[in-house]
Amino acid sequence: MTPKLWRALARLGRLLDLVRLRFTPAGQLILVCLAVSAALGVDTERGMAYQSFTFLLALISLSMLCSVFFRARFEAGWRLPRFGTAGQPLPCSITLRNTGNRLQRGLSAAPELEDGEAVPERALPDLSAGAACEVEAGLLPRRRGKLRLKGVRVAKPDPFGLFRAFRRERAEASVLVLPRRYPVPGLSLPGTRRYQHGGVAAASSVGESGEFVSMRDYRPGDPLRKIHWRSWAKAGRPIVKEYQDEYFVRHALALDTFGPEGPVFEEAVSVAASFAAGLTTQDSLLDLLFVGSRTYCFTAGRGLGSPDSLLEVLACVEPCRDKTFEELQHAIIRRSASISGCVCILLGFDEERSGFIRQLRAIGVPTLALVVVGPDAPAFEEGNGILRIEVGRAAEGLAKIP
Amino acid sequence: MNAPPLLIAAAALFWGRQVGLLAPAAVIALVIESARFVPWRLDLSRENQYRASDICAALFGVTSLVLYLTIEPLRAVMLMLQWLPLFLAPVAAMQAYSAARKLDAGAFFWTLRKRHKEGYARRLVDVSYIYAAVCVLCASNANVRTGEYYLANILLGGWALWSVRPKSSSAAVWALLLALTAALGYQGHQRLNSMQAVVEKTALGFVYSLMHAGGKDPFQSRTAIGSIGALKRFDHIILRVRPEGGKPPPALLHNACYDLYKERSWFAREAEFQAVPAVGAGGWKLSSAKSPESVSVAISLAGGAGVLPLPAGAARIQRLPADSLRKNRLGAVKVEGGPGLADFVVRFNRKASLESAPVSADLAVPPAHGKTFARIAAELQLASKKPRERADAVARWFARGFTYSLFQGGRPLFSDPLENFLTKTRSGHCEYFASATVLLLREAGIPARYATGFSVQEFSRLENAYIVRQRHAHAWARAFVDGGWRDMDTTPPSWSDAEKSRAASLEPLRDFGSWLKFGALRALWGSAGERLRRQLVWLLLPAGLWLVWKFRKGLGRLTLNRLRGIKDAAVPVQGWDSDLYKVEKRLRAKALGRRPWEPFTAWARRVGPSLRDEAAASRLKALAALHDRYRFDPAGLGAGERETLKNGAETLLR
Repeated sequence: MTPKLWRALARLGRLLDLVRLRFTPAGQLILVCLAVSAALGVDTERGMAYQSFTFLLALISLSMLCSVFFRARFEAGWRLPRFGTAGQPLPCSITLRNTGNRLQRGLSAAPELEDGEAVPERALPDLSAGAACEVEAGLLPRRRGKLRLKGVRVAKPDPFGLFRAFRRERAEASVLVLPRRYPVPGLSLPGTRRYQHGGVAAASSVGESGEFVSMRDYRPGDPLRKIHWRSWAKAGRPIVKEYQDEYFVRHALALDTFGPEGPVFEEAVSVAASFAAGLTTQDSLLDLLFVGSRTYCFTAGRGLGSPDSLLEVLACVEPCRDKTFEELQHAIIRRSASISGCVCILLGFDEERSGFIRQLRAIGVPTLALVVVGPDAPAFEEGNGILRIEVGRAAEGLAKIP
Repeated sequence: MNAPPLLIAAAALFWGRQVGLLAPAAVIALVIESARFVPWRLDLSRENQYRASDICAALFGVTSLVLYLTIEPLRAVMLMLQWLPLFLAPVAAMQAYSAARKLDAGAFFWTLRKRHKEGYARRLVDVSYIYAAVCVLCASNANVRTGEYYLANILLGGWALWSVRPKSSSAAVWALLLALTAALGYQGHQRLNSMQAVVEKTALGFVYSLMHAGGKDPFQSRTAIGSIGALKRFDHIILRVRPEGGKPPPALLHNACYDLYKERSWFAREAEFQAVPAVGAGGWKLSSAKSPESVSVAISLAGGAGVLPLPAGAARIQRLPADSLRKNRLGAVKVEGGPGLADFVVRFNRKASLESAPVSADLAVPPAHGKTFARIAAELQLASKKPRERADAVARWFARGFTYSLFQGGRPLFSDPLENFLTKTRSGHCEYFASATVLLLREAGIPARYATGFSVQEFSRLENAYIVRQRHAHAWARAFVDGGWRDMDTTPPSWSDAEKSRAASLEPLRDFGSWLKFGALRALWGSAGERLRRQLVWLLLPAGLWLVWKFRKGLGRLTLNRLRGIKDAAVPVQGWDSDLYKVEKRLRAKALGRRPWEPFTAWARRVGPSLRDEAAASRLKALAALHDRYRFDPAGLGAGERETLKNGAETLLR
């Protein structure tokens, strides 16, 4: 396909988007009828469709003209949570105040995003002068990272309900969207407690008791069996139980960032986020290691940091393009003396990566390698702590962790 | 949202009335509207919907093919457009009787079916408004030229628009806008209709000349006056003429006439086309003059449309099945929606003419040529002669000192080519002679027009008919003498020999090929072809029936469900009729609505302080607690508590 054709198609796509946005479904039907009547009514002597054409043309023209008279003023704001999760509805709402001096009826509003993605509109109640309302924004973040909100678009249909007038109110805000998470089974790497240089002051006991520690809000990725149903019923939101893992272990969670941007990389980040959210709730330390502009190591657990901070970091991870896999390899080997076990999330299983896993095991670090690949990636030897995780079937793959 | 009651019935009945299918329309209206009173619904799976719409599409396709093969393509298309609501009726009825009251969009788009398989969400469409719109638009093809159609547009359109009107829209403003729309639309279509002539004259005339190279542009003739080089070098046969009744064929066949000469071109002014009345199957009445002679003409019509070459005084045309035939005041006749090969009979009267009476424009000589023609007229002493003698004098003058030549040796730089022809070279092709004759006759006070068409002069033994080649295209003058328009061809008779001398050596071979092609076209479009197509229909009908049968088997078992059951299943089993919902709805209009994730008790706590007094707030809290029990407590509420909930909600609403 030639670039010219691409450009023409892109222009056509933009035009169709604009038509969908501006015209109501009834208006779109009128537009189609207008086109059909224009085609049928070319010869005014041969049919009467030209009369439909002029009628519909007058109808659409008047509808569009009416939109000029939509003069309203609003003040928009947001009620936003601190975090969202990719693929999960974001519980946020729009607050809108009518700062004009007229009653506004039949309005609808939708958030406007920086990246131009369309969000379904929500109907607003009647707003008298000075009145305010709050409606659910209906945002569904599809990607992790910063979700930037540009403002609010308030729409009002014309008296026929065919064409909509818009009023755009600027209200900039942003929310950090955490990666998608999956349930991760309890990890039991055959490592031992290791001497932690400098120690962790919060470490108070050693051993495994399965003792109940606290309740906390459900986070996507928590296993269902941890849900405390009675508390849910009482609080009106899902609550999970936390148990104390009394072994003081330190795990490394190594994320391979040496691959192209795309679904495989995103799935690898999601798998890492699933471990970050799941393992640190137990009483252990977790080092998140990856290479970006430099080699990063973030530690969480036992009072050093919350799992949320790891998720925040993972929300912003990007593929590394100027370094090699060796950087990550060295970073983990340098810490091998202090880590009890390592979970490696790899973007493929080539010679270099398989050699690295062998090396880790050779120096006595129990390792679980999760190889995230596309559905049509070539097969490799699985088993013995090496698992294949296919894009789109990550939860299924993670459930196989022994 | 489905169309309001009776809208589809009204649209269908209007369509039936317009296209003359009132009985089927009444059945459609009855079937679709009865769904509102029938308590049963079809449990249609997605696949069933796909198959049912496929059956409709297959029936439409088969019928289209049958019509295409049996009648003219253009007429077939128009007829299918008229009948479209018939084929869509089962789909509309399917929606009316389906439980969902909407259809899967995949029933109409194959691409969506594929997307469903790939796991995309289903899209449902409401076809009720679409069906009403199809009925109205298809009714337009019936071309019933009364005010009924526009009135139906306003009434049915207004009805549909009222049903989708936003709640915030004021009824008075809405009505005013609709009235304004109706008035604007009326003005628009009145203007559009009157503009049709202008559009035809410019855009369509231009397109026509591009598309139908074989025919003539009936509005303009760009003559080759002043061109350099060889002209009319094409040998291929474009017409076949068979005289009937043992008489010789007419020497000239007219295509078009022009009355305005301007800058080397002839134009036809005020030459809008008017419909010619049909007389029986394939018969057309051009004029009421008696027509003792007849001739058969065969011509290929690209796309079934073109200008017909007719003898002067053509009165009737027979054996020409076409969608329409139109003529203009200058005698040009064009056909639309005709067969690929028009093999028709023309009845004509050599003494009559199709053209309108002369007007002052038929005497106009361009000022640039005024002096030259005045001088020639004076030289020939035309002013002192009777009209008939003047015409003869002009003909003699051209016959005396002028010669025919196809090749123009050089283009005059400073003088007009027509002036050059008259005063210097005295040699040219037919367009020079015709133009000069027309202008000289006008100078002499005889109304005259410029005619183009074909000269019938070559008889083919192979075809046993007169054949007319492209090079036989000719131009001549039409003079109004003795109360009628007469052909006046002043081009020297040697022109046909001059043309023939330049014929290609392979002409006989090409003629043979042309004869074979003509035979094939005749077999397809002639009476034998008609038989062939009819036989094909009998093959297609069982094929269509088989197709329906095959799809029918795929429909599987359809189940009927009682509507009541569906209604019950569609709402929560317990507590769905709680009166607190009404309170919540009322408060939502005051921007105090419940958030989607908010339990009623939490909502009551939140909005309580915003209520008018403390008592209302505490009542709302108490009602929310009762509501929660009514909705979720398996034991439900006692009669007294239910009454409390109801009365409490009513008090709050007041």
